[in-house]
Amino acid sequence: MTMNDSELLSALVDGELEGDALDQALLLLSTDDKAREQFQRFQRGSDSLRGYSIPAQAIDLSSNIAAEISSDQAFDVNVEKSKEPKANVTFMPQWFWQQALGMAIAASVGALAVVSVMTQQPQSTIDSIPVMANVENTTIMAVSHEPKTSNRWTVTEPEVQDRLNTYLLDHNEYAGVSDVFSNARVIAYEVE
Amino acid sequence: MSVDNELVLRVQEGDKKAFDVLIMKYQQRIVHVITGFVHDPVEALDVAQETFIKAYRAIPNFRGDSAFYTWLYRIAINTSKNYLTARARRPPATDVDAADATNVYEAPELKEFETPESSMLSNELELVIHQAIEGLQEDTATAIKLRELEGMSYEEISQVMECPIGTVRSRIFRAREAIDKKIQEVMGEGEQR
Repeated sequence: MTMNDSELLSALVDGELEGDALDQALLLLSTDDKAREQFQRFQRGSDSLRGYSIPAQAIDLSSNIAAEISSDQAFDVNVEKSKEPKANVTFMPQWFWQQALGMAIAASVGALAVVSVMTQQPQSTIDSIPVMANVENTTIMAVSHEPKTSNRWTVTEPEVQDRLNTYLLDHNEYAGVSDVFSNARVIAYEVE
Repeated sequence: MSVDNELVLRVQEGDKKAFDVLIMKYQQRIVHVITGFVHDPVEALDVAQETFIKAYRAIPNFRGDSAFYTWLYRIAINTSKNYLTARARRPPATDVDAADATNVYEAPELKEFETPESSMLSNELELVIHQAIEGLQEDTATAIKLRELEGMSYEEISQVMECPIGTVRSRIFRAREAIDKKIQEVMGEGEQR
């Protein structure tokens, strides 16, 4: 063992090695018994300087421990990483997803209906506002009862009508099956 | 990354020899800490061995949130307490903090458990080591004191002493050799007694 090797071991005691130097020191310790002894003596000196009492005989637990763990499988960081807990995902029962899906469909169809009503009634709102008419001494409340445009959908093309029928049937059936009638609006359309 | 963390990483990747280095590095301290609980030196060695085996088996779960020694220290304390409980003996009422355990001067509780023989040898060693340091060249003595007593890194020492890191490394090595020589002499005499 060279002086340079001994200096390397001294630096290892201080935890001041990295990269190739650390590799070199580890190789030295695993192949040279004298290097192991010297490393342990350096470590003992360091420990005693820090106040740890030193027993009369040098301690070397490494051989016993190595024998104990020799039967243990070497760790593989990739295997261990695969055992790490993943994101905490709670799996909900199927009935929950059925109801949630039903409600989502109901909500989307409802939103579609509201949008269509809003786009089809721009003028009628003005006409349907109650108008106060003052006829001589009598005040008469005149209310427009009949909107000029319907809030119902009208479908003229048969193919589109068929597809819409199928969709609405599925939706309403699903709302019924999944007990969300109280929350879902039953949608229908027809030509008035 | 510290050398300890690098060694732990290598163990986690399947390098058992890296764990061997960790054992060599910390066995002295761990035995000392365990002796504070388990007074019998032979039993203390058994508990220390069990501590390292437990640590090896648990090392895949070590994430580096604390220093490796702090983690190992906790395993040592728990293993000692379990050992005493299994032997239906009462564990000591006072505990020693992991930070304090790195320096016995700050953890007088551990001193209480020393036997007269070990205490005498300890005192003798302490004296011989300090004499060895005083006999060193001034620069060498300063470097080892800053390292071992002040806990400075090589870089910090190089800044304080205004010299390259390589020089710091050489000075500390020379000091270690001198100390080691003195320890060998004392321990040789101790074995003859």
